[in-house]
Amino acid sequence: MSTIDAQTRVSDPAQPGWKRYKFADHFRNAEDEFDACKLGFWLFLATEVLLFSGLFCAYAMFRVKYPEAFAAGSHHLNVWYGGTNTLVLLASSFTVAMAIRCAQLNNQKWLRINLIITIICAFLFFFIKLNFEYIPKWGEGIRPGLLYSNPFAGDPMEPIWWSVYYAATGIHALHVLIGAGLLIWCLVRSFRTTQYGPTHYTMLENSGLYWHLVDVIWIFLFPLLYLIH
Amino acid sequence: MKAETAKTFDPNDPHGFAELGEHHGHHITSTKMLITVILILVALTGLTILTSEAETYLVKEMGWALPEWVNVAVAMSIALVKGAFVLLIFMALRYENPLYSIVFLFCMFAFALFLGLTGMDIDNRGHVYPWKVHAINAGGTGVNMNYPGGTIHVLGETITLPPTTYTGSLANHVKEVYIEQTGISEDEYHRRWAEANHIHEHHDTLSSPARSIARTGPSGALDEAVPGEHAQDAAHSPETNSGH
Repeated sequence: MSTIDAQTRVSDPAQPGWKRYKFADHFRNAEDEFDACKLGFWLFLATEVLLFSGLFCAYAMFRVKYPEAFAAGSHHLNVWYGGTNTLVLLASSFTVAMAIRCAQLNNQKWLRINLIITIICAFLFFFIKLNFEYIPKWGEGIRPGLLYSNPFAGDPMEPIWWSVYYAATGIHALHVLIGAGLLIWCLVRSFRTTQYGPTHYTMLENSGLYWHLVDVIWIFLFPLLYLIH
Repeated sequence: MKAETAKTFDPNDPHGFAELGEHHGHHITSTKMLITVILILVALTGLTILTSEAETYLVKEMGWALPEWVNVAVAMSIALVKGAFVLLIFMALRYENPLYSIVFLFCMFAFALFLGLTGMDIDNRGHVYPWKVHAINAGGTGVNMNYPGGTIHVLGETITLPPTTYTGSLANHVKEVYIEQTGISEDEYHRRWAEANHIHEHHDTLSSPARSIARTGPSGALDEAVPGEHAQDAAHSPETNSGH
């Protein structure tokens, strides 16, 4: 298809959004646009990985310096909350992969169902994190940085562990909320214009990649924070 | 060669991209594959929790002398396998343009640099301080603080932090303030400390919060000193070295 064709194509409101979608003029075809978007998104994901690399690096260095403090701090975390959250994120990663598969196969009903399950999982993760971990710990005075006011620290350097913990899980939780927001946006577009189908699902694909990355980060945070004593 | 053959100029494809060949379309991962991967991921999550609990049990209850790195190595190996499954199948790196994988591998290279260079820095500070004693401060030890005070709003709560100056760790400072404010004895503090840390009939002496219950951990700290003694750690204190 030439550029001229793309520009003069009539958009028929009766058609679903993914059929009406026209790729930008400066692309040869929809495939090229998709690939360019996806490469751009992978470069963005690279910056995200580098952001978390800094946190993992801080974790590693402080852990080598103060292993007793990390052991004492890790002792306070309940592995079942962490484990449940891991399963919740894994399940949501699966459903978002299924949602993309449904878009590729033009299965609009299950695309939406899978997206809804993913979004529910995202909020469930955040709820467990906030309600069973952050809020009780905050009440005990286990807080980041100079806010730390728990007189029963297991180790003199324990506040350092909690600063690392809050920074790492806090930034991760922020990413969970952003990812949920992206997926809600996808869901709204799917309901309003049937935006995603076999020939066009760029935003869904990239939101899915973002969500998988959030999952991968948690896959590493979970053992580092909860399992290693 | 075909490239030498004269071609009519196509204004819509001036660079001749059409010759590069058709796209092969997007890879559609099968449901069977996705379900297999999610089941593997769930199983590995169970396995990593199980091994962690088993290690704790063997060390604490059975008195096994497991090397300290076992815990880290097992948990991280399982996490690597899980991460690889998500990246290769869910994120489809296995089926897609290798360029995306290269972007990701670059991050891993950068991460290795972060770890390696920061590690070298931390490891060798003891050698640097004696020479640099007048030029740099041995910071990052977290053992003293001079804070002018302030107000912080967070989670609907307004926290007023008084001006704080202390030497020793923040945890010890908080402990001392607590003992001073409640007026309890040292023994009573230790009783409450053990209760807060869920230690009831432990054979460890609870003489100091620094002496926490026996735990496994990674290989010994780079600093030989116990954390509480950092303040007096000669290698890290510019004052003691100023006589050089």
